[in-house]
Amino acid sequence: MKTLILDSDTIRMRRLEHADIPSIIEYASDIEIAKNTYVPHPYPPEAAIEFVTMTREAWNNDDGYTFALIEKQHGDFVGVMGLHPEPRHYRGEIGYWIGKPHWGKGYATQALRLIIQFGFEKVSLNRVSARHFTTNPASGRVMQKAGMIYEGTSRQEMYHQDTFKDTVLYAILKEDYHAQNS
Amino acid sequence: MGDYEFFTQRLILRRLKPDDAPHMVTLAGDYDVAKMTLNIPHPYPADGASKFIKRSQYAWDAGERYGFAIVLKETDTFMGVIGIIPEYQHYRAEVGYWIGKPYWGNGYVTEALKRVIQFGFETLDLNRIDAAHRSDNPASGRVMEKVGMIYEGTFRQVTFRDGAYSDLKYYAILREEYDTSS
Repeated sequence: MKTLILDSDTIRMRRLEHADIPSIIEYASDIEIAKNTYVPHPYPPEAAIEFVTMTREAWNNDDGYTFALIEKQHGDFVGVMGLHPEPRHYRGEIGYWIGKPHWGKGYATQALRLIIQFGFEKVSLNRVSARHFTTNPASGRVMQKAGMIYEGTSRQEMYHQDTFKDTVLYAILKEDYHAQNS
Repeated sequence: MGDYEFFTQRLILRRLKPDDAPHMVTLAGDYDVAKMTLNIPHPYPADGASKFIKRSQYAWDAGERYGFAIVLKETDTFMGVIGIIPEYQHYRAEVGYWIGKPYWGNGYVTEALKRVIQFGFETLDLNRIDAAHRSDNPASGRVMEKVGMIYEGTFRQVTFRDGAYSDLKYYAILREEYDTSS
């Protein structure tokens, strides 16, 4: 499990490294990222160090798999995506963000497809889910494109940036995944 | 924390106490009760109730969750448990409940749930209260509807118990929907 790489045509996903920290700080500091995720704003640089350290440790313990997304053509770091399993229920939740300069290139959809495959084929999960705020519909389209199915909207579930936000839940089951890939 | 004790038309909702343990073992030991819950193990261990009661009292004192005994006023009979677990950061809470089989079909859970929702909004100052039931337990959904909770979605194969996956149906009531006159 330790040296784990996921590849598509245009992106590579690998474990986060401390060398990614400057890129994480640069992209995570954008308020557009904080609007759609739980990334704090203003973004304290030490949060990036803690994030990389914690996620690498979780990886070591098979508690969670947080990947750096690398665009293959220039080797640029473009974002992060993590799969967080709950082994008791054979399910896992995915979270991610893409740096704003790299939006609109399909990286999130590709990464989501790769991590879903990883979740079913390597982590032996039965269900993989992801959420987005209703104020971020683009994320829903990524989830749909990756084969995830809408399950419900939790109204005013989160108190985020001084307001209540609805969260939308998507999920894909192992049986959905096999049906889509047969 | 708080010395919360409520009297409804037919019920007393109060803090759990060690004397409840033998009744809890009997009632929760029935597989028809346990199988519809997330956490009641089956077979139910002999010390399961006393451990649960101890943990509940600790959590109550810490304000982390409030587990109430559902007691029939007339006979001072312990019938089940209803708990509310707040996530204060998001001004929300989840409610869970079970009641022993001899007491099914009398509307006791509806009465208890109504009172706990009132507690959540009027004392804990919450904005959202949610609950879930297994899709093979529609009676629980009717209880949620009766107290004014609104269906939000079905999360498929989200729990694994006794060798099988089960769907959970989610309901929620928001502060703005809560009718203080009822």
